[in-house]
Amino acid sequence: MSSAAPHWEIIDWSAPVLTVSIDGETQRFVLTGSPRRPRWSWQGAYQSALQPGADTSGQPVSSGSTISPMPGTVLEVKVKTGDSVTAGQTLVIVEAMKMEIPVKAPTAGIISNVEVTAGDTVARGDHLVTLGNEDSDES
Amino acid sequence: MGESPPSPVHRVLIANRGECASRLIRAFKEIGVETIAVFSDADRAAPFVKAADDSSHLGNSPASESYLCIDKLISAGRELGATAVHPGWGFLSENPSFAKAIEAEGWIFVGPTADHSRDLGDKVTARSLATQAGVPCTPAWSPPAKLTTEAEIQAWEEKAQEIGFPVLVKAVSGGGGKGMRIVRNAAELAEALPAARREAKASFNDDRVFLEKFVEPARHIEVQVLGDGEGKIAIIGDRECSLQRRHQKLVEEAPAANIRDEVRQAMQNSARSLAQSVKYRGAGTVEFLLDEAGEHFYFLEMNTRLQVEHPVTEEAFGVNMVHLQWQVALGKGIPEGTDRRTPQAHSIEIRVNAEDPASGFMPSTGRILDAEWPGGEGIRIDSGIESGSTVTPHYDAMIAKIIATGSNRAEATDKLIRAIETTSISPLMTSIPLGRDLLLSDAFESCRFFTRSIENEWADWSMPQVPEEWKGILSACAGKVLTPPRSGKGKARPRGTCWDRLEGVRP
Repeated sequence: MSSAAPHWEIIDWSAPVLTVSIDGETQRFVLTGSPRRPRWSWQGAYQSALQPGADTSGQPVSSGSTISPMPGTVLEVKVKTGDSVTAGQTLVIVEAMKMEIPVKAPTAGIISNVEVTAGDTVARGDHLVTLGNEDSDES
Repeated sequence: MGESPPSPVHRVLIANRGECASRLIRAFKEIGVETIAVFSDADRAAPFVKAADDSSHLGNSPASESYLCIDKLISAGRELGATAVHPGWGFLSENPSFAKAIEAEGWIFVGPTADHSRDLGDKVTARSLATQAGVPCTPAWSPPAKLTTEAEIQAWEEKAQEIGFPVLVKAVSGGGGKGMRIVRNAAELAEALPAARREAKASFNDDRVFLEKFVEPARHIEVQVLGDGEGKIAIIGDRECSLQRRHQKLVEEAPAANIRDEVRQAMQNSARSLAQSVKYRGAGTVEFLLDEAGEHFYFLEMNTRLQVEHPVTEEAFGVNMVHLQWQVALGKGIPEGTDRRTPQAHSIEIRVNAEDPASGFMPSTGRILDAEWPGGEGIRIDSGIESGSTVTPHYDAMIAKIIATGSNRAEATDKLIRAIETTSISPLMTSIPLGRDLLLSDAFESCRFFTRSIENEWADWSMPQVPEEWKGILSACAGKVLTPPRSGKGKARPRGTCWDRLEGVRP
């Protein structure tokens, strides 16, 4: 919490576990990779953003978008071009690891394009549906 | 058996994949039984395939074209000389047609009879068997036939009103929370019904669903049973599996803590009488819901297979469930001293799921650069992956389990927390950082948690991120302790090529 640079000291390195004392508190990290491109896990979680250019494939995509939140198969397309939808309405159902994930409309609007059909294989971030604005609907 | 003919050499086909297959292969190796792995396109390079004595390719990656194809499994077994089949959990483990097909080949099915998996796997029949055996059940209703018309949806609504919301729409052949939906009002029913059916169809190839009263809040306690098929039943303690996400267990422990002795006894007696009433054969689990007061319990279902969480029973009670299954399957009966064992230790497991617990447990797929596991006394890792493995969206998200065992619950908890802190599955997101925080919580310490606790109380949880001011420290540490890649060409490599991403990956 202090504004001064934290005081630290390596207590132990038993690859790949690094124990460091930071401001008097013992922290444990799992450290792999190379000096230039180290990879860290802390408290069981991979820390993806330590280095510029680090792998960000694990970053979650923003929810509520009309892109596929994960790789999988399109199970059902619940809208067609020209449909008017409300915020939160299910547009497409994507299946991965046997779980059904509904992709919902982030805002109200009119479907201007449907890019997938049931059975399509999609990658994370693929566009599923394009949602046009509906100026009259402000709720 | 009298004049000791040479005991037949067995070859067990493992009709499963991933962590499950790896665990089974290891168990059979320990007793000198050969194994045959089967695999899909996606699993060609998986560790379990290499671990088996022999292997056979089944087909394309989707389970429906590989692990769920009975005919493909049978031909693989014929080709490679299988004498027995272990179905593991999931896939075909509770499919009576599979058990029948295996026995028709003259092979040993390491599991219950086809009749047992049909009757107990069918949740509606199981409930009536349980009722007959004197096991307490919650109110439920099964539709007379498949419902498609609006009139029939109305029948569902009426019954749900009668039983009282919240209710569960549940797959008749379900398990692991798949094909199950909690419905809190009539409006939710219209969407839940087809969704549960689709999921049930995809997971179990059976889209029948039924309605059941949802007990809330409730703990999930289950009893491990083993039957010899002739009416002899052993009870190998119980497990607490209340910490769940999407109705799938995340943290499990044995024995269940904070249960009154009389309630524990009554629950174990119920499990025994159900298993005895059907002359159950093999390993099975009778699951119960225990109400908030810890006084009343209700039959949930009986799983006619080895459970994912069997390691905590093994560690706490000093048994090997796979070896016991094999004994019983060979007709050698239940070893002396298996029934009514007292726990020798306390054991807790966290499931390592490739998913992001901070974004609704969305699957996290891709190539694993590092799979670093903790070691030490009392730590057991059951894993299906290694550095370089690829997690695909085709199958369940569980890639491994970390099991910590101590002389008491507090010790097991501390060991598991430390184990999580020294695990790395980069760059995937997994369930274990959430598991760590659950284990550290007061609710866990005092056993005040229920099947919906994660959903209700941990929805705002976020992934631990190292503080910004530590990042410089960590870079400095990396420079001190890590060695640069051995190849001198490293420096000359252009930046941003695919080779950069492979740096540091061990073969």
